[in-house]
Amino acid sequence: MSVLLSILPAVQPAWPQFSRFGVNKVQFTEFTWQKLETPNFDLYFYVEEELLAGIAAEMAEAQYERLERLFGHSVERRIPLIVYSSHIYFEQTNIIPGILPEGVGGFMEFLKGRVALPLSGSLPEFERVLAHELIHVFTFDRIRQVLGRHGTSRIRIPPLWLTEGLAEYWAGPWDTEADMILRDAIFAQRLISIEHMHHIDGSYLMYKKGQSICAYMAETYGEDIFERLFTNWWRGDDFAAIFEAVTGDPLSKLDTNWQYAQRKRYLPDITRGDLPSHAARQLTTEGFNTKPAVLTGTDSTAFLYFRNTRGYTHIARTTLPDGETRVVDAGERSPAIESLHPMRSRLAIDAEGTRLAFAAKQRGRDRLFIQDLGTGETVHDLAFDSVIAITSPSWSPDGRRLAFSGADSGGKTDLYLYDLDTGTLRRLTHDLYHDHDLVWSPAGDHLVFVSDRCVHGRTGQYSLFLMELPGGRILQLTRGEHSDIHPAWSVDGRYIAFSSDRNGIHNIHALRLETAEDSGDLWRSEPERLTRVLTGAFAPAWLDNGQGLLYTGYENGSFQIFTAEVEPEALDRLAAVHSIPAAPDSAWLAGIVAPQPAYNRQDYERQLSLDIAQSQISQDPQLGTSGGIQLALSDILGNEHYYFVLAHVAGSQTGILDGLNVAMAHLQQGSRINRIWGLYRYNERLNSRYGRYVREKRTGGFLELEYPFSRHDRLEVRLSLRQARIDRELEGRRLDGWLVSNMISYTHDNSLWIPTGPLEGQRYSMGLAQTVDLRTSRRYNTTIFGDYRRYFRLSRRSALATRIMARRSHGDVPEYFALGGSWTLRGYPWLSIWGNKMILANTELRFPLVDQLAIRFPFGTMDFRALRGAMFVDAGNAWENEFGSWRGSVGAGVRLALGGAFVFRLDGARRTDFRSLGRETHWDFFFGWDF
Amino acid sequence: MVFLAVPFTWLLLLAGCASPLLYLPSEDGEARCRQDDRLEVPEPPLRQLWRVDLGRPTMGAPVVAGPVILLSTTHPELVALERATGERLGALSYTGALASPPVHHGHQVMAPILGTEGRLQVLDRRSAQLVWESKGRFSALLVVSADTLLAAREDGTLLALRLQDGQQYWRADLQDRVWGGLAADATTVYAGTAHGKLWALDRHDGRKRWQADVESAVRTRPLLLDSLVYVGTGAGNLVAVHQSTGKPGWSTALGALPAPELVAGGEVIVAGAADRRLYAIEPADGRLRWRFETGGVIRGGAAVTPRTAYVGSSDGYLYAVDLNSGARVWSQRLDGPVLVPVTLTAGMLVAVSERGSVYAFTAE
Repeated sequence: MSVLLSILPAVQPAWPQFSRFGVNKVQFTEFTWQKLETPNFDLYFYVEEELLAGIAAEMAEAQYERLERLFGHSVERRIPLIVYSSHIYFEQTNIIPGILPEGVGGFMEFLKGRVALPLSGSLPEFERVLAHELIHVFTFDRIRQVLGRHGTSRIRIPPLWLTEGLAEYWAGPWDTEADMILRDAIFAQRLISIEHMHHIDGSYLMYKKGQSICAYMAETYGEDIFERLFTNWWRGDDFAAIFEAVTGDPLSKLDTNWQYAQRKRYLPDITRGDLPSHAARQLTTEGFNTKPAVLTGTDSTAFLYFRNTRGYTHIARTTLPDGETRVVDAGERSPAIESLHPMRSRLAIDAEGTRLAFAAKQRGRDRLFIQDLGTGETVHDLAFDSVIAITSPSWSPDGRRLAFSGADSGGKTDLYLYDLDTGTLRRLTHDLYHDHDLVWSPAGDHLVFVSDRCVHGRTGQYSLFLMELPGGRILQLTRGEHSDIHPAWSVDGRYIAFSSDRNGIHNIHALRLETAEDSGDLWRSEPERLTRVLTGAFAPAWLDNGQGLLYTGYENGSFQIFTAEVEPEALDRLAAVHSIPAAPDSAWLAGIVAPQPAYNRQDYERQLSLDIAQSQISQDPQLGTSGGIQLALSDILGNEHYYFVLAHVAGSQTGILDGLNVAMAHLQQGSRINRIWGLYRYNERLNSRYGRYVREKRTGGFLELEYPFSRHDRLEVRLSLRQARIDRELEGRRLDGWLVSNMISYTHDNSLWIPTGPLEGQRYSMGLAQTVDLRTSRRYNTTIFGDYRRYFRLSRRSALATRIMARRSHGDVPEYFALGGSWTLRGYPWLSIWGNKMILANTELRFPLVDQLAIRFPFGTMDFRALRGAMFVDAGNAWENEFGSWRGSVGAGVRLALGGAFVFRLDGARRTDFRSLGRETHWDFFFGWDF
Repeated sequence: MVFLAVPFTWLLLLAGCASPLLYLPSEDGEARCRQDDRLEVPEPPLRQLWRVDLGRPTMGAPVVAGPVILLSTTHPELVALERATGERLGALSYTGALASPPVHHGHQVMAPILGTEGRLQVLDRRSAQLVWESKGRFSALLVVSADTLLAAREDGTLLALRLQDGQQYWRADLQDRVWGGLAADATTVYAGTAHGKLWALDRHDGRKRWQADVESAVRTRPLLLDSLVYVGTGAGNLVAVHQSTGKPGWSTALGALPAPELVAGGEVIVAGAADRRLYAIEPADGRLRWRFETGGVIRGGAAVTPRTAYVGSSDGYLYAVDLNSGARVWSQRLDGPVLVPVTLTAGMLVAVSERGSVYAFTAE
């Protein structure tokens, strides 16, 4: 399918591809790639991340050795491993075609078995993700080997909860975050059974439940149960049968026992604390809300925070006590901001309460935006050549400097300080420790920040550190085998609140700081726990009066903002009795960046290998018999693709060679401008306005250039030269000639989708195309086209969708356009209204009917993700000389998402001339997304 | 019988011979065999004697039955090769997948066949005739002890059946599945289960003598040596238990999951593991004598001569390791990973690669 989709737009006549929507994967950065050959991996990296590549090579080999022991299996191929020093670079990968969301930490793809992952600051986390993906490699390679050795041709793909759950289980230890997810699921009664786990396929909840099930399986049947399952994978048609063959137990028994064990484990926790909504006042309810920043200097209490209620993260402001909420910045709705990094970053409001600083991704790097909170204007838009990713800005008390955490092109995440007056940037740390989440002290003499530059940092734990300013000496504020994150200074600078899982659950803690009068040294108290929530409390922010704080709490599968009072006595009890020592120079990095074995290193050489080879044969009552083969090849990085199509269409009257269709295309997408060129020879029948097919033989080539301005906008230019022999005997003429076609178009798309189609945003495409006969200079046609679609969100899951589309072609041989059918003018037969001019307007109300639909058949249960309803009004016409009258229809329909582009659409429409309504209902059904 | 008659006829035609398929009855063959049996097991260096392509990987180790080598492929079929030449004598297809490799005793071949109900089938390999069969899903490697066939079923029962006709001598309920296999001496049957229990049963009546807890799944066939019984476990340990009492002897950690067969030789226990290593362990106290690292996981067991341990690895090599020092003395690359145990017989070492190539080596 992908071959055809890729190549056919380039060889079709102009108009079907006029409106190719979709967001762009932009290659903002061009890399000089190299390859490192380790015993089991071909590791691809770019020169800027040489240090990371060496570390990744060692980690990969160590993980390989570990997994070999767990699986009892060696992978019989070299594993391609592609490493990126930043998630921003990773998002530009061409290894897989889709857009990579920020939550994707890495992936293994199936065509070439490649593993790709970025360093997002933390080396232990990088290693965990690497292990996770390699577990997928081992799982599928072992299953392939076992099925192969038993001659089983039927693919038996393990359930997603098992593959992801095992990858989580073996990639790292069970942690407090996993506990939080499971405990919340228990208390919210969202512990889905194994049988229904596919309802949450792909969600983080599924990952953690899968991990929990795998842990339970290992506890019940032994750690080698997975090796036994994979070794016996040939013994059943599905996982339930394999599981029973290996353990003797039905899967339902595992399901029941696992659920019981989880309840037994977590329900007693009710004595340890409360859910956030029972322990504190909940300030937000809808969607996802996190990282509050208190607005100081105002009469009322207000806070800003990241909010996501409808698929876009934006910055919102809520005023207390009335709870009035308004949008401060449209955030990811704005084409200028691709991501606000709500999970990794935080908002910063200056001491005067007049300016907001935040980091956001825009055009291939993060930038620092400073917004005037009074006017809403962006007063600074800062980007730094040496800093690719930015998080957690913090204002100096005088409002003249900003400190932030930034990652360079080599993957080092360090602390930076930017002087707004002088425009100078100073790097405060410079190593591979993950320094982030920093906050300036009210006195301006310290930064508190989070880092893994501690003894337990190697296992992914974080502690709090202080940096003395301006000297830069680093002190270790907290320590221990737990994570202390999200620090926040109290307004008077005497306390630091932070989130810590030192008691097994992330709760808000506070410690007191005091400066010794004699020495001037800082002393600290023991941390005091301020909240006792059952799930997790994060990102505290002190209220102005110092007697309460806001925090982000996790409950019922989402993050919300809560406020809790702080008893002054609790803080008064804290005694600063501990001195704060200097941080160790090298806690554990030295062991990791030790000299690496001298692996063979070479420049990247493009080597093509097969992605897809498929053949097909089809019989169509109108088009006759056709068959063909398609091949797709690409290089390891996915930057170069070749597509080949060889097909034959029976029914040609001039022999077998005449019925051949041959096409090839070469796509280059390794740089900012995507280039695709190709050659083709086609003999095919095309729809005609006469209700019959005309035959056109075309031999030629094309070149197409695409320049994406951003994720949402692009310019496309296309040039083609072809010899066309068009049999239009129905028109009473034959048209032969060497035709040159030019086309230029501009496309914008920022629509937000649900499984059945767009729900919010807008997209449009407009352009101009011209075709000229090269020998006679006769202008065949000039075509202008425009397509505008806008989706007005009415509620979380309903929208009013509108489309206006117009096309006009004129010249000696104009293009003809057709209306009618499910995708254009409903109520009229498929492609039944023809003309070289066309206009179409659609308005459609889209609303939910059923979210999950399970139908039990004798052979099993089929689950459908979404059943949606629609009510619509269509109007349009296609004409040659006289417009005639508008043709319209009104109707309603349903859409059922079957997966991917397979959306079943059924519409019933009655025609109208807008004066009266027809009595006959016309039914259209089709597979495809809504417009 | 219908099952036997149809494929048997077909195979006769396929093989182009009129004699029974899994048997070499000629005087010449028997004579060659008697001659071969006087040979000693080969010590390295070895040379390739012959190679045959079965086209399929095999289950378990090659079995030497007089002048014939029997191999069970994953097809599933039982293939007979002439030991001296590798010539294919014939094959017998099974109608269902095999739960574990067939075992051979005398002229009888016993195979646990999966399927909706499952059965244990005993054939006379000379005639390919069914001798008897027993219904049930059998899970583990079978073992023959004197006139008794010991077989474990998936429902956790252990059966002692008369080899001659399948009549049940006794039945014991182990309450758990046997994965690694069974072992027996003159008085006792040993069985390790998936939940880490090692059972000792009276060989004559099946009564429990003792039960020991070895903490995780028993993944190897119990090895009986002197007064101890040894098993490899899912936790990657080699565990010794006293044969008479079931009391723990010692436990030593291997680097990973053990290969399913332990062997004794040269005063050590030799165990392969998924950490690529072959371990030589002192039987008395579990101390490590040596370990030898290959280039891939070891899933098939080793075979030992008085001086040498042979083992195949997923790196595609066959290794010969000195039993005293653990040093490599010979190696040979095959055409694919070696994931099943190698077999030693008089004058010959037989190994099978995952590509389905059977190699016979003899001393240079």
